[in-house]
Amino acid sequence: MILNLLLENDILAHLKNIIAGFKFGTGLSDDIKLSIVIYLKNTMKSKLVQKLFSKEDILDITQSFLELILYSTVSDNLLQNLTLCLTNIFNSIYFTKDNDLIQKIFVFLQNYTVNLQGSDIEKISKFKPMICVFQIIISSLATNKENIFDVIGKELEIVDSMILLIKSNLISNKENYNSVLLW
Amino acid sequence: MVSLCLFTCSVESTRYIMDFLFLCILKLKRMEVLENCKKIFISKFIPFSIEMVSLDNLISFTGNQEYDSILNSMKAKSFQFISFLIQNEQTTIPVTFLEHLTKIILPSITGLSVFINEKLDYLSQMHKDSKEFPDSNHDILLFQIMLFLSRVLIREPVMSQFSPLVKK
Repeated sequence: MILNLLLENDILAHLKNIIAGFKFGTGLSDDIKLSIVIYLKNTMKSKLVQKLFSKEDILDITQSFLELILYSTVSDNLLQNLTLCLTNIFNSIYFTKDNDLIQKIFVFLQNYTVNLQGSDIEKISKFKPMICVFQIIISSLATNKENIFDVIGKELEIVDSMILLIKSNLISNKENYNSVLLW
Repeated sequence: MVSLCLFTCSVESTRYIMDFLFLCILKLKRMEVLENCKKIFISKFIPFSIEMVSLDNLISFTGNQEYDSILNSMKAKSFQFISFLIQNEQTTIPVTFLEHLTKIILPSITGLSVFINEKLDYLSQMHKDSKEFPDSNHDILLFQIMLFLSRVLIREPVMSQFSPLVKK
């Protein structure tokens, strides 16, 4: 009930609080996280249809969802529901009628890729949620006849850099994996 | 163990990449613009997908279910991507594409024969007792391999173009 009231008043501010909570691990169980995300998904959907957000708000909300997917460790179930939230956003009139928004999302994603830090395994483990985001964008109405080459071009550029890292790990160290597996 | 973890993580990411590449060409096809950029997919991503299906044995059957599932699923997605690109070649198929394909035709036939000869009993039991005989994505990979072979060995346009290339 409290969550309901809070979200009704200012979804953006509370979305940011939720993300902070998820990111810094406040001890929330996966079930609670899941119920929050499902609630967010349902609340967002009606607000998107009614066009209750400004362009800046929607950009902020989308980036917040992306942060949730990319920066925190989420279970597959949670990831599935988060992708549904993002699908609703990318299918909304905000993205289908304004190509500028998707361009801004790509700037965000490119910065995220460039700033990936850590060992190879840490970097590669971040590819899965990233590719999920790409899949959502390409499947959504935000990718249309006008921008399809631009969108796919940008996504493939990032995927290409991922492939380089994967190849160097999979192929050059293949014998090591085999020996570990046999052991 | 870190090595194995890095390996499975890389393979799983590759599976997602292959799925994503398939979605890209599917969307391009639906928008009727695939022809404009097919060359990029062939030159850039077909060699990678072929390297991926050539990784380790054609069908993984180590007994480690997690490892087998991830590897087989990734290979199935790679074959799916390759087959879809072949399917969309209407009249002639680029020679570079054919050359890439020839690298996996023989290993696919050999791998499939070995698997069927040695694991046919297992396959027949797989759907009767899933606990004792788990399906580590063998089913889907077998389907994709057979689909790939039918595309390159039975159907046009590869069929008529393939023989001269083999002789050469």
